[in-house]
Amino acid sequence: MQEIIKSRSCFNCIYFNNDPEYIEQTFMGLKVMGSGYSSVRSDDGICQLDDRYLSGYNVCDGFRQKD
Amino acid sequence: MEEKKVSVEGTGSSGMGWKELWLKEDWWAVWLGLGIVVVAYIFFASGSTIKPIAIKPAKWHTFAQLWSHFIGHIGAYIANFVIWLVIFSVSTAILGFKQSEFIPSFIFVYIFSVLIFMVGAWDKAHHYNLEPPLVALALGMLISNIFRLPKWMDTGFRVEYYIKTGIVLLGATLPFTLIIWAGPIAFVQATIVSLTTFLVIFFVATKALGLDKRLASCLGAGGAVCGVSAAIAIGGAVKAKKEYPSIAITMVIIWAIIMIFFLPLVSRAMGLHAGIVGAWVGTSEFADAAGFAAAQAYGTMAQNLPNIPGTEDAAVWGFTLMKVIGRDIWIGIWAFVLALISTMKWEAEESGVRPSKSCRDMVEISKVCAWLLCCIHNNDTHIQWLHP
Repeated sequence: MQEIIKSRSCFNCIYFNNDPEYIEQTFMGLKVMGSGYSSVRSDDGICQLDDRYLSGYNVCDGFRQKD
Repeated sequence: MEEKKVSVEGTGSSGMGWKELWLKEDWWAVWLGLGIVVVAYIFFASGSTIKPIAIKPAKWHTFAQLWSHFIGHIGAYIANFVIWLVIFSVSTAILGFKQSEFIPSFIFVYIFSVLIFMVGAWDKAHHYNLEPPLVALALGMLISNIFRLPKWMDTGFRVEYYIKTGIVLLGATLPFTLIIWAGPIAFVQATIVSLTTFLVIFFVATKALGLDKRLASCLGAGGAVCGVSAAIAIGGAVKAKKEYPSIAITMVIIWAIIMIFFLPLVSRAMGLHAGIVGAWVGTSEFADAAGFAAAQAYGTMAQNLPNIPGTEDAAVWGFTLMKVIGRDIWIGIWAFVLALISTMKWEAEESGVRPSKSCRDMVEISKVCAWLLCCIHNNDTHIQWLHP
């Protein structure tokens, strides 16, 4: 069950983007006194379906498998 | 479900695990800081020192004196530059930055840094508040707002990475006895400040201004803990809307920049001791980089102006105790507590789906954690939003 949930997590979803450079471009001020490459950000990223910033371990009904 | 078109295909790299040790700036700052400390100790144990390459401009009155110092120590400046260039080039290459962009940009940053330190070493600089951190900030703002620097130069402007490395090295200069002596008081004070600030911001934002709880969480943590880092950490923890971290980050930066100038200048007018100002900055500043700049600026004033008591070290140590040790440790606690509350309570309310028994147990634990945190310092605190 856990494996199924993991395979359907945001990490494997086409809508999820947690690339540090993309995060820094999205949150314009982040680089001024923070960083997209910092540990506090962990693996969090942006869901472009819901326009939310969330953990890559999330699961939702809008999941669409990445190629 | 109707699919929404997205402009960019996701690049969701899976959990890093151990790769974090070489793919995150924080770990690189730890490796570099520890490495430099170990090398310094090896030199020290063998009767030598790395001090000659820790060069910075000496106090000068005329350009001839400045030039003479620079030419006389050109070897040390070159060695200093080469060491930092190699260290940061290797680490940023592993992090994935293009070296064809990073190296020229780093050279630009390094040259400007030396020039700014030269300005700060002018014997009249302190009369005009030309402390290096303040000059650097003012110059940076001028350049970025008047000129349009090429995009590739951003690669070398890794403020957080440089600051993190400095903080690790700062730890090596912080006396352990000071942590034992002043640490508990600093911790208690920082705890009161962190809790009070978060709760005030959260309740004013939600109850008085009617803002979303997730936005209030980002704002509260940004103000109470460590600015931009806290805002982004909490944003992910509470599943914030995309614009919420940006709003919190903007608020943090505006406040931080104002306070970088305000705190040292007001403290100077009041003639406060450098250690007290360091603690004040550590209590009031949102971002580590900004706080370090303000504390360092006032420390430099104390070092050079006879009417300001204290030393540069006292200002930086006071700041480190209050901010880096006292307040910043709360980031993990707030992220954990708010992640649980967001997932188990807010989402449950929004979706109408009741969490499972084990989930409800977890949220009860988080409520108790949050309640205990508040009751430690204020027995009258009632967290109504935790008790529906």
